[in-house]
Amino acid sequence: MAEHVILFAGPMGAGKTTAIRTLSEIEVVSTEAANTDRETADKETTTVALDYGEIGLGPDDKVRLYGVPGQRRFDFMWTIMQERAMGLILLVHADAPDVGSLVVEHLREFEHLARRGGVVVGISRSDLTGPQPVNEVHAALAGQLPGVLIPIFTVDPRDAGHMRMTLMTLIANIETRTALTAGATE
Amino acid sequence: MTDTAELMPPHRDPHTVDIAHRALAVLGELSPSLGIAVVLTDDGFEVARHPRRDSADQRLASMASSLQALSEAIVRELRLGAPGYVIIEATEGHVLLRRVPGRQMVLAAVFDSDESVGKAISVSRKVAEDFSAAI
Ligand SMILES: Nc1nc2c(ncn2[C@@H]2O[C@H](COP(=O)(O)OP(=O)(O)O)[C@@H](O)[C@H]2O)c(=O)[nH]1
Ligand SMILES: [Mg+2]
Repeated sequence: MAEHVILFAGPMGAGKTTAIRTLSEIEVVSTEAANTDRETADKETTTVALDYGEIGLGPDDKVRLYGVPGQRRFDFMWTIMQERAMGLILLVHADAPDVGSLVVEHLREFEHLARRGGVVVGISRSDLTGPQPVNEVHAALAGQLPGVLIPIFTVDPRDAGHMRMTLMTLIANIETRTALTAGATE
Repeated sequence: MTDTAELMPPHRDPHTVDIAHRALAVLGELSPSLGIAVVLTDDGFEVARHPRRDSADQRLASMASSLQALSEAIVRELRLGAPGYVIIEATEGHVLLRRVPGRQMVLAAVFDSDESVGKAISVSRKVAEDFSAAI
């Protein structure tokens, strides 16, 4: 497999832009605008179109990393980007009000991609809250999508090791699924 | 430092909203073929709309903010200097986007095909400049 297109999705402030900047080996393309919605996430800027970065995995594999805006009013970008991706890293911040239902809600928006490709969930900012949210997310996913195996990690999007591990897990997940599908249709 | 822009986003500042409505009304007078026009914040919130309307549909504002940001990203990427305007031409009309000079706001205007692109460009520039100066 020569090229992978991976999408970073999840609510505003989860760390999608940060994660792509951490992983990318090229200068990222970003579309940050002054953030006027400080109640939702208290940060200077917010993504209004996309983030784009690239990372090589081994000599032949290139991964294209796309991030989408987190705010729902940009959901047309979710639809557009979902079509070209083969895997999803869903980031949700642990200091959000209801982490479990946020994960379920966003996963539902990317269900098409989740069924076609692979998904990994990353819970960010848990250094600010402690480890409870991961259990909450396991419970929410088990209730909403029983029988679907979705790896869940606690991640810090600022940490290259964490993000590489998350990405590798996703790629392995996608390749396993591709191999299984190919085997099943032979 | 107290930054009033931070305390009061443009779309919630009655003064800015009022001036934006007037600017769009002027645009409508100067361009009879103007369909919809919107002033939006860089992050996609509607500040004012012409014709006036109360609606929760902010789709044009969101899409315009994405396109504006992508256009500016391309200009940056190719080191083309300062961005001017963006035009989308279609069989039934055209869409023009341009930054309100010096502001974190964008003007998006939809014209029907009767309007010449040249006129849309010059009229929208004047309205955007006057609006920026009036805030
Ligand atoms: N303490 C802490 N801060 C984080 C973590 N992940 C992200 N952040 C910060 O949270 C903010 C996330 O912003 P951003 O990447 O723009 O989020 P986006 O809206 O998902 O693109 C940034 O200021 C990050 O530095 C984390 O795991 N711990
Ligand atoms: Mg972002």
